Amino acid sequence: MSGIGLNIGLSGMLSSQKALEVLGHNMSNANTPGYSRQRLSLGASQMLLQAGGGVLGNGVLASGVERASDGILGRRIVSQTAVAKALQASLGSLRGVESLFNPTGHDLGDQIDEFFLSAASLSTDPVDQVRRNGMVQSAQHLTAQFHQTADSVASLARDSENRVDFLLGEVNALAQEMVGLNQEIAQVEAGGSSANDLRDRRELVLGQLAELVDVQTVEHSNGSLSVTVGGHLLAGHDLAATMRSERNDDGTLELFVGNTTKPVGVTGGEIGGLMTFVQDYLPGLQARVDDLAKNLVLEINRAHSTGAPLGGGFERLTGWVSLEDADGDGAVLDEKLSDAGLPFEVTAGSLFVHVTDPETGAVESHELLVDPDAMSVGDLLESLDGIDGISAGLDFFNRVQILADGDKRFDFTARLDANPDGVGSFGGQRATAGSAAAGPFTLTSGATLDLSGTSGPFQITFDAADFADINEATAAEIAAVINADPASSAGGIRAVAEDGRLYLQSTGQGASESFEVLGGSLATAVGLPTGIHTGQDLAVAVELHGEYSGSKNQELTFTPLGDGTIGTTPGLQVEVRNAQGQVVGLLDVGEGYQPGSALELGDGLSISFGVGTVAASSNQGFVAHAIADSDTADLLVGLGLNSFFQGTDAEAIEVVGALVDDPSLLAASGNGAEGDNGALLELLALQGEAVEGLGVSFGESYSNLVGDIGFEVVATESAAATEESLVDSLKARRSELAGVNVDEELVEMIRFEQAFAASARFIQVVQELQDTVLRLI
Amino acid sequence: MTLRPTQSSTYALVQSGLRMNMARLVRAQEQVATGKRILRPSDDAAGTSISQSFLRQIAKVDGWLESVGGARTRLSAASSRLQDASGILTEARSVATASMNGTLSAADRLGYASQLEQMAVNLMEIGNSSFGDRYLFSGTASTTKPFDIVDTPDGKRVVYHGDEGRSTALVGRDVEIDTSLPGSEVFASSDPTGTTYAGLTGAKSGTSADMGTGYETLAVRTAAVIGLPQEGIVVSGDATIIGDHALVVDAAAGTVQLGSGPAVSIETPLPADLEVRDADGSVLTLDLTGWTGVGFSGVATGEGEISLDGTSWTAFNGTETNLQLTDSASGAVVHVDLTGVTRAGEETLVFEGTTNVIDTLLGMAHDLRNNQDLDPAALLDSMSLRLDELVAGQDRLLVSLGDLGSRQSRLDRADQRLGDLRIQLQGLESEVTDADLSEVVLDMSRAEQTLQVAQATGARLLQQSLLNYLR
Repeated sequence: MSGIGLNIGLSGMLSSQKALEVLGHNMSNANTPGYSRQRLSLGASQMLLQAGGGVLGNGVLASGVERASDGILGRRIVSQTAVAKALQASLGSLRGVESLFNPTGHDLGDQIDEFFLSAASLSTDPVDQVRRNGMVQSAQHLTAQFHQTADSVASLARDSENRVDFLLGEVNALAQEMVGLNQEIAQVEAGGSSANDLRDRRELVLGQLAELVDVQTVEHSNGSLSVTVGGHLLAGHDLAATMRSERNDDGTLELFVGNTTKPVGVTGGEIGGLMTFVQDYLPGLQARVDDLAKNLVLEINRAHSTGAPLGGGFERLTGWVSLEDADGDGAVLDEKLSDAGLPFEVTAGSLFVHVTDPETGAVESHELLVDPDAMSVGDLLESLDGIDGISAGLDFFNRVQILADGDKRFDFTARLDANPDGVGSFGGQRATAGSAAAGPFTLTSGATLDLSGTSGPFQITFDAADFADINEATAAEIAAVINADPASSAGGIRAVAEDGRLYLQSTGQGASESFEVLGGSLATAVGLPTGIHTGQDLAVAVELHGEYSGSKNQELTFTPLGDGTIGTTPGLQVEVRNAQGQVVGLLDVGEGYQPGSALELGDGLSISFGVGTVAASSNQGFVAHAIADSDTADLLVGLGLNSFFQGTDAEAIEVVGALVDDPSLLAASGNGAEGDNGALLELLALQGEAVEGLGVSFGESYSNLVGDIGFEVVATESAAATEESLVDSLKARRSELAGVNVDEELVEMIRFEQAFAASARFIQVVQELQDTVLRLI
Repeated sequence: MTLRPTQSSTYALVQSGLRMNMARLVRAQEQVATGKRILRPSDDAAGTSISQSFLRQIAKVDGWLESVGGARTRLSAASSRLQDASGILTEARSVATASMNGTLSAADRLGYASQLEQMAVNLMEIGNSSFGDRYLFSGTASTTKPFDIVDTPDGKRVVYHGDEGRSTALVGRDVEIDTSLPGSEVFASSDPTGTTYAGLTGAKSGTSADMGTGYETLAVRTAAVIGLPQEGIVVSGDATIIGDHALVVDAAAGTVQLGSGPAVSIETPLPADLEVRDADGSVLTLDLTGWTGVGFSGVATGEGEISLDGTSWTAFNGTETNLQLTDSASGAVVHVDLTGVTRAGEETLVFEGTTNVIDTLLGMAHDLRNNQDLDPAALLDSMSLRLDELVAGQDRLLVSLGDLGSRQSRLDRADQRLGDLRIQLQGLESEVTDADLSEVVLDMSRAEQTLQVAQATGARLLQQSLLNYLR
């Protein structure tokens, strides 16, 4: 009995002592991160002893130290931590973005406003050099702000990527530690006991990993834990893979685990948050800023390119756009305009080019028809070069360059040609006979024209070879054949093609000049009136006045109804037709009309006719162009000619260098007059207008951007707060389960202290019993 | 709330509570210090959007205000100059009227002429006045001096070098105000209504229409006189007769009479240059020194030549009803009916509705200087022709002034409206972004209180331990 009794007492004392040790361990680790409180498992030791038939216990048995933990809760904490950390990392980066777009009073939106304000200021005095400088400078501030924004966005991306690289190092260190812990735990637990503190440590490491990346775990029977990232093993029982980053071809950062060649998608943890920010959010932001810059370039250039600089026109212009050789044959000229790599789309339409002579003030207007899918760069340059007074070509960088000949100047404004009857086909001094309508004309090969000039009758024969398509013969082609015939010049007759019409004219001027159209199949096909046509001493001066206020380009054809003298012949009228052939006006220019007085045409235009005679019988007439948009093809914008800004994104946007060097090239004038501010007014209208490419105005676009950043921050903030509070509550639950409460431990301590005393007392009793027995001996 | 608080969770709770309340205090402090409720977009994303949109609108209004300011100063400068011009024209009218008094001496007329010339110069100076470095009245050719006086065979004439371009100020969305003042509209007009002749020679408008601007001088001269010599009397000097004029030499009375003009006595000795005058003012100078003393009743016929530019002369016979004459220098074309022409002379004609007031004044001075020996009646004709144009010119100027005034008041109204709008927008913007101080201060004291309570309870909580009772 005694041996047993002592043993029972001893087991009680020892287990109490051990329990106190565990309590001490708990209390000393009360503040250790990741520590799970431990409990000594006690069980009654059973020893089968027959003593009068009863089974008697053999004291207490400390079967092991258990750790309070919940595996599922632990895993939830790990996965939730990854989510919360990802949002926190995003939020941190977004705060960086937010500070970039803080409304400071000097932000991009303010700079856009400043730019328009300087344009408004210039519009009050377009000649002023100081204001011109001011506008160029404020535009430079604007572009600088764009650059700074683009740079800042790029450096935010760089910072985030550097941080990712740094964090990857931590991940790898943690993975190594994980492997070490796995091995130790397996070793310890192979002996059957639980590696409590090691498991705590491993849980802590796993938590730290989860703060960086979203990890998945599988626990093996030997106690080791496999950690995977995106399906790839990061840390196993004996091997840790390395996580690394690589830049792919388009410059974005990608993550790899081990030797895999396929990038892993990481969305959780700080790395996941940073990667989402860099890969998803920032490119979108950058695109919006770039879009703003690009549309600003497009719209401002649209308004500016059709303006005229101080001095009324250009001596030379070079586009900023380098044309591309898309088919790689070494030549740019054969590229269609639509393939020539233009930054802004050129559409089918027309461009008006005006060549002015500053000496005489004479203006020659030309309309250039543009079809980007059919017209090659070479065709375009050829037709530009074909305009009298300018030459066009490509410079060394394949940029379009236009030069004025001699003292001439050119521009692309919506100016009004004040003298629309350039060739004198409406009561001019030359004898004139016109075609019945504008071409093209349907001819047959071998068509003839019989004329009689100063040297007697002669015949001109037309051959199919003279035309690109004889069924669609143009007035210019017919005129070329007539003028090439020596009999024409000998007979004092010339042919002129103007606005699609064909005019035969005497080369001399005055009442004594005449020629006769005798007939011929061409005369019939084209509608040249037969008979004698005579010149006059007084040319009818036709003047167009006003500023066209219509919204569409108009082509107005003026023809007299009847023959007679302006201001004298009773009932003489001039008919006005639009391009569709509809009569839009009848002007009374006969008796009662004061020659030189203005007749209203509508849309801000008026016309006056001078003294002289006009003849409907000679098919006289002329065409006047009323221009609302002188570049409906957007050709100037596409080629970067007479641009204000260049570049197509926030990083590349610049004020065109020529303007910075010489602000007098700033095209403020809408019609060539130096004090005109038409182009600026058009530009200013953009400030409040919804822009085609953005759907809203520039200012609104920026406001929306700032607002959206704010919303993004707020949304991320609240999501991060929610996720974090979830993590907190999970951690609280874990702490509730596994944390150390010192008071609790103290209570336990008193309990086991008393149990120890009780066991000691029991031994004493057993000893006393033994002494009693011994005394009996 | 956890059911089983542990050491670390208790500490964490106390810490986060303190941190949160401290953060609220700091945020309130930030708002008080800056006066702004929104310091970064995330403080109020919707508010930021609204405030940004107000800021953009304010910027637009600023642009319009800038335009209004620029246009206002310019137009008010122009307005005051035009008022001066109007004053000059009023004065010029009274001077012109006074100068038309038939009893004036040549010296008086010269005096008036120089006055009118001075006024023309003053008027041109006004026309050439500038604002800053920019001419006010040259249309959109703002660095081109608009007016310039050139000498022509017909006297001094003013030439306009500006243009008729319109410039506008954008003072609101799609609201544009015309800011241009082309001198060709303020000081002149280009709305021809017809040609008027002063009526000296009897030339009239032909059947065809004319074309030109301002004034032209139609010169008619006598190239030769047919019908003499007769009875020893020859033409000796000036002859301004055109067509047939009866010439009666009455030997008995000793007089010579041209047409229905006064009979002139023949003095002795017989004069070499006797001037006889017809009722229409035409003159025939006769040399009677070789007179036979025999009276006769014959016809002296003046063969005429006519010119518009004073250099190329066209002979006419008085039957022309639509003779075309051109002045290559000015580009004017007139068609004249010469059937009523009876005398030579320089006739002023005006293309009504196309004159320049400066030209009119210069023309008046030219008439008054009378360096073509016009008779008073002819002078009166020419002067009254010009006076009508002067009155029309003054009316035009007043119309321009009125128009200018209404544009100014539109600008004033725009200025007022935009100013109000700006203040309103600023108010709205500050309502969105500015901190409501009383609210912030309230927030602040609330946060402060909570913080203090949290600190107190935290301190108490952390002191609690069983250890305090274990001896």
